[in-house]
Amino acid sequence: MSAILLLIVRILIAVGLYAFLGWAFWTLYQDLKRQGRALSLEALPKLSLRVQNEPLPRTYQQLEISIGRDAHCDLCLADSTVSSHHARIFYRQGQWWLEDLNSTNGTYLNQTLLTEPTALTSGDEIRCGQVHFKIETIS
Amino acid sequence: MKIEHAASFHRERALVLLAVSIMLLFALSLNLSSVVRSGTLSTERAWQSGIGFLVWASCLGGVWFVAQKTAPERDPYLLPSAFLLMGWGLMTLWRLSPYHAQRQTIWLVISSLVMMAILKAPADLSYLRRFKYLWLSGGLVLVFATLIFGANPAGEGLPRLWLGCCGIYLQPSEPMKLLLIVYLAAYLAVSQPFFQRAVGSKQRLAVLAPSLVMSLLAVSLLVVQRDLGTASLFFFLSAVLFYFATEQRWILLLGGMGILFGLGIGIVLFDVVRWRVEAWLNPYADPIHRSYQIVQSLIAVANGGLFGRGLGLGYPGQVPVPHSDFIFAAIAEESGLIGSLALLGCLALLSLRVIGLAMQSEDRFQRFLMIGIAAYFGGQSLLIIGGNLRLLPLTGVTLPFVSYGGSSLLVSCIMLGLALQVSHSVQPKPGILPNPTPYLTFGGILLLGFVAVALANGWFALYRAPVLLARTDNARRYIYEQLVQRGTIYDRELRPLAISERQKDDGVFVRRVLYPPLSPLIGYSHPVYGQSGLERSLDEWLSGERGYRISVILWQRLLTGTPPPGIAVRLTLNLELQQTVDRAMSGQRGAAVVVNAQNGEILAIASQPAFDSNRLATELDSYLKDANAPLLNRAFQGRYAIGALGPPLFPKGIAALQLRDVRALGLPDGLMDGRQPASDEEITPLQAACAAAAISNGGIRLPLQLVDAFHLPNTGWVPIQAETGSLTVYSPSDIELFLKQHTDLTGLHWHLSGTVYNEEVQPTSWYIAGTAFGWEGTPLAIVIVLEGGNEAAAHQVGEIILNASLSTVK
Repeated sequence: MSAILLLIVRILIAVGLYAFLGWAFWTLYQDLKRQGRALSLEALPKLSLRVQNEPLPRTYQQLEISIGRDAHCDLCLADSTVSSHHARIFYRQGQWWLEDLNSTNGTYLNQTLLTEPTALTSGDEIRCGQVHFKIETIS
Repeated sequence: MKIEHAASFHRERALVLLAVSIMLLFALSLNLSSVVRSGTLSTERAWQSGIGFLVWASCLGGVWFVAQKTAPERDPYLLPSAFLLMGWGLMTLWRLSPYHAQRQTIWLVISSLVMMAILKAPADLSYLRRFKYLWLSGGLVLVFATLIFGANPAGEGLPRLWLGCCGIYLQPSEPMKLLLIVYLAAYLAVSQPFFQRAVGSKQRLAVLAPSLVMSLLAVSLLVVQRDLGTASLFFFLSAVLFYFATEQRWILLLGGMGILFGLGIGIVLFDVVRWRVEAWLNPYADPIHRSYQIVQSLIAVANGGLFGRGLGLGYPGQVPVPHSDFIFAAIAEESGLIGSLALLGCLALLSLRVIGLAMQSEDRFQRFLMIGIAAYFGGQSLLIIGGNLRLLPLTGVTLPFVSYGGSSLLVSCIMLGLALQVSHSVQPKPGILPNPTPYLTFGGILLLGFVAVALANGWFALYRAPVLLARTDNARRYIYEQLVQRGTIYDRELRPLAISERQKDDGVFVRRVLYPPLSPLIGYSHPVYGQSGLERSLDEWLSGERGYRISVILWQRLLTGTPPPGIAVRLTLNLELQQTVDRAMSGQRGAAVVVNAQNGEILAIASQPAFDSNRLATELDSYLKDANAPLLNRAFQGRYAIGALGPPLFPKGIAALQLRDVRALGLPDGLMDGRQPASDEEITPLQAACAAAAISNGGIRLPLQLVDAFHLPNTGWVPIQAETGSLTVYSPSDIELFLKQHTDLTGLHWHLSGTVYNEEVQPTSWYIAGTAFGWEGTPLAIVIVLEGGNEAAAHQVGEIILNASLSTVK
């Protein structure tokens, strides 16, 4: 009888020990997750841009924004002068960059044909084929 | 990452409450285990565990109260895990050695008071960095003083590593660990920018020179003291801190090579290093002397298995110094793999949290200090646990917070206090860490070390456990014999021949052979002399390891750590006939065997002169010196020249009997199996009896049988299936011819007798007999061998035994 009682106590000790460790490691993991989320949110600023003739700006918060006629692009421009994967905007080294992806009609930044990835600032005007859009805010 | 205040408080409180409940359960299990062991509650145990728990809890409460005031934003994991380790160690000590536990309890109070003082001291730790040389030289002087005034509290003639007065001893090498860390952290924090700006290896070396000299001085002082474990730890601590200061990875490689080089030098210079390394590489070569500790430690870990035997129900006392160097083995035995992995988890949590503190801290001194403390906690734990588990050579260092040792506990607590203070002062937003690589590398190395130790622990606790536990130097097997009744050995009429009786005074079982002349057959099971005879060949049954359902054995082992009561064994011997045979043989040197020729059962087996198993402890020396070799069982171990009696007994040669295939059931090893060779010139009495029985059985040779039945739980007596292996070895015409020549006038039995003279050994007289066709009862065969060439005596003894056998069996 006492042996069975002791067995129960031994099981409780083991449960207690692992509850101790489990609680410690679980809370540490929670910290790590929160920290990771905070870091990723902190690091990635929002980008909003307005396509010509659209009433409201579009806002993005992601590392890369693809632009093209293809429906899967983040910024889908239904215009025959836009290539299906025309250009992309990406975030690197604390800045947003615009890069042409060998489009047929070219990408223009402030009326200049884009030949290499170029950093963007607020107010920049971009033209893909015949579609114009404007970077409104970079936060 | 620093957690906000409320969440941190919440976490720490949960962990502290868990730690307190675990300790309460530990104290409860200490009391329950004494009930399981002895049947009554030990009031002494109750007091000890109660006081242990109360002192521990008040120390925790006191430190917590002070920390709450002076360092409210401390790390929530350090205090609970360190106190859990301290409590676990203290409870284990109360269980192992109340003397050491009392002292450790006092040291726990002192250490907690010192920790409170540290927590109240200025948080910037300026008192440490400003007087770094003073601290270090103080430590060096103390260590140096042990060279002159050193003592050892355990006694004279041992390494003198302590400074002592009035019953209180301090081991200066323990505080020296902290002082070296403080000095190196302070020095390297100042000199790191200069080192980074220095050009060329010469300038760089010049920057580090003073600290290098100081480290070398500390290491060499300990080498002179022969405290090589601590010396290697100092070397490790210095290498780690230099790695962090220089951020050069080759320092780690150099440190590793330095340790290997030092080990090589140590093997050449110091015997103790060579012994330790040999014991590490091949512990099973010398398990009773130099690798006694490590082998016993592995057996203890194996005995723990997965679930452990329960606090107070293991036998960690079998490992030398279980309270200090081998406390991990003691914990692994009683808490099992489950418990020791949790212990490793606590140690890993503690070390890795301190590395985390180092990464968050803004101040270089604090960073290096934390790294040194993490290296101490992690490195020393791995060093001694690795030593316990044969992963590393054994070094006599303590397990931080857990092992017995006042100086060690005090220093660990000071380090804990410093870490708590630093954790309070770090900013919620971590400062910029220019190069995180060393922190990640070092943290990874420590984590790998813990994983390796955990794997080794699992290897020995699970995979290697059956082999380790079956070793003859596992004293637990003999302890179980005292706690659990060993199976009784009966004769065929259930008259007990050997029993285990519970002693009235101490309640343990003692084995006694009730009919001592059978000692050469029954043998003995003795903690010092091992096992022999039937006690050995039937050990699995007698000790309760076989005969039960496996679930019953496992459940019993889980509950009390012991096997279930032993299985009783019934032999084929007839005690009355045996007594007659022994009386007839008394005063002779030789052997006698009586076999039932129809079924191969051995009815009597005598070897004279015989020893007495009950008097082994006092008489062993005289038995060993006796020229008549009483320890030998002549019936199956004595090989005698058969001479001219051979051809009539086995006309086609002994090989035709194919004795090699005869496996006599239940007989000790080497009795009748392939290991006891038989030649046409020399055979054992038992082999002769096998041949004689075949003649009386109409030419069919049967396997001999000594064990009749086992008394299994629930089912009762279960007879042993007769071994198949009968073989016709004589043709009817052979038998007819043989009986025509050797049958007596009565026509009831035949006999062969004669003396074989041999130049090298003394003459041997044989008397071999059996029943003939005229006998209507059970056919029998007997063999008598007497040393000394007294053929008349052999004849006389033989006839007595033959008549007695025939009238007993009918």
